[in-house]
Amino acid sequence: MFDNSGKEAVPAGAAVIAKALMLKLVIDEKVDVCLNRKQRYNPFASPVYAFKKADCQEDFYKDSVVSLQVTSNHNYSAGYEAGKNLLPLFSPIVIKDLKTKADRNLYLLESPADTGTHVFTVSVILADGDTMRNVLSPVKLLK
Amino acid sequence: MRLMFLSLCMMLLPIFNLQARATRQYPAVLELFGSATSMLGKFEFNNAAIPLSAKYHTNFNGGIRASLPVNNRGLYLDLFMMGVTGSIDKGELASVIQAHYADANYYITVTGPSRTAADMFLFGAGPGFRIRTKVIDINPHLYLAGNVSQFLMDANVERKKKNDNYSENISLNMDRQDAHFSLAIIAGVKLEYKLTNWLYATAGINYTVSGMKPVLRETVTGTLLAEKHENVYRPLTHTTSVLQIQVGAQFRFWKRNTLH
Repeated sequence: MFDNSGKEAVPAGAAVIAKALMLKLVIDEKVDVCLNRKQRYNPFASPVYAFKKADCQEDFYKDSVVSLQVTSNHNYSAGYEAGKNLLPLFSPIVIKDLKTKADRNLYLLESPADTGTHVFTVSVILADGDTMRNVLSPVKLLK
Repeated sequence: MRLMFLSLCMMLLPIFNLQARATRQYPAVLELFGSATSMLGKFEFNNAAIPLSAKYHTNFNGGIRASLPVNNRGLYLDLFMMGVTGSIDKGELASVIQAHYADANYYITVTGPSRTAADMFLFGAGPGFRIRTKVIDINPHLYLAGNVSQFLMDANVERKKKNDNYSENISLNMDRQDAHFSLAIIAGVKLEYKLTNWLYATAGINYTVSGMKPVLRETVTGTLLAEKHENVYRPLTHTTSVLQIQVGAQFRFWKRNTLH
């Protein structure tokens, strides 16, 4: 969670101006190495092992992200009560692009109805049904 | 009929002969020259929405000129083409851009300009005289030219709103796709010093007045929602004066009865 009110984003303190709140989503990836025996038809050389990605199931991500949710324990604004997904209030993010390793920034674009302390929970729902959750530190959102 | 034709030829022969002898007193001239060029005044982008200005820099460029004798009194018809390459001071332009976009509610970061250029390609014709003295030839000339000109510039401005996630990228471009054609008037004088019968060294000064038309494209892209809009600014033609110091080499040919 970052405070983007200045020229550069810095880790958020106890209070942040709502429209300057930024959440950083760090996507990591684990690539399985495909070890294939590949015969080389050379009578003078022994068969060698080669890494050949083409033999793996390319573009298959067992744990690919299928959904992303940001919720708060506190009512945010009309239509966004506690527990509702607040993702539409953030800058757009393309879920299918979350399979590559990179940091994604979620910028909050709308102010809450009133000043209050929120505990945000970021939930990443994976293709195999698992859900990864991260409960962030309480932050007071200023209008 | 044949007799009449022969008579006419006999009558005209002395005229052609005289003309041939006269023109050969002044040789045809082919000249290659290099120039130290200074665009005078400042680059002025006169648009109220985005006024820009900065000084020009001196550059070196060159051209070619052919002079064809018209009569036996030193009058020539000159044909020429030359390039004039100038540049706009990047530091000053960056400061002007910074000042233009400065806003108390935003953090501004200007990158560039990465390149600036103010180029002309001039081609034209006009009269020139070759006045002979014992030491040198003096060659005043006055030309009307076509001028294909272009401005090039790339700069980038990042604007980040204070106390807000909003930020935008502003791309400023002047590109060769907006090259402009206008007329130019060139006046100058050259001193020509004989090295050999066919080779002369020259030095002179040229003053050019022409119109140039800068076109600036401002593309504003919001970094969060990727909203984008482009503004194209086309101010009135920008009159540009150019002073050139030229040195070159002349090749003279097609002469028989030189006065030297």
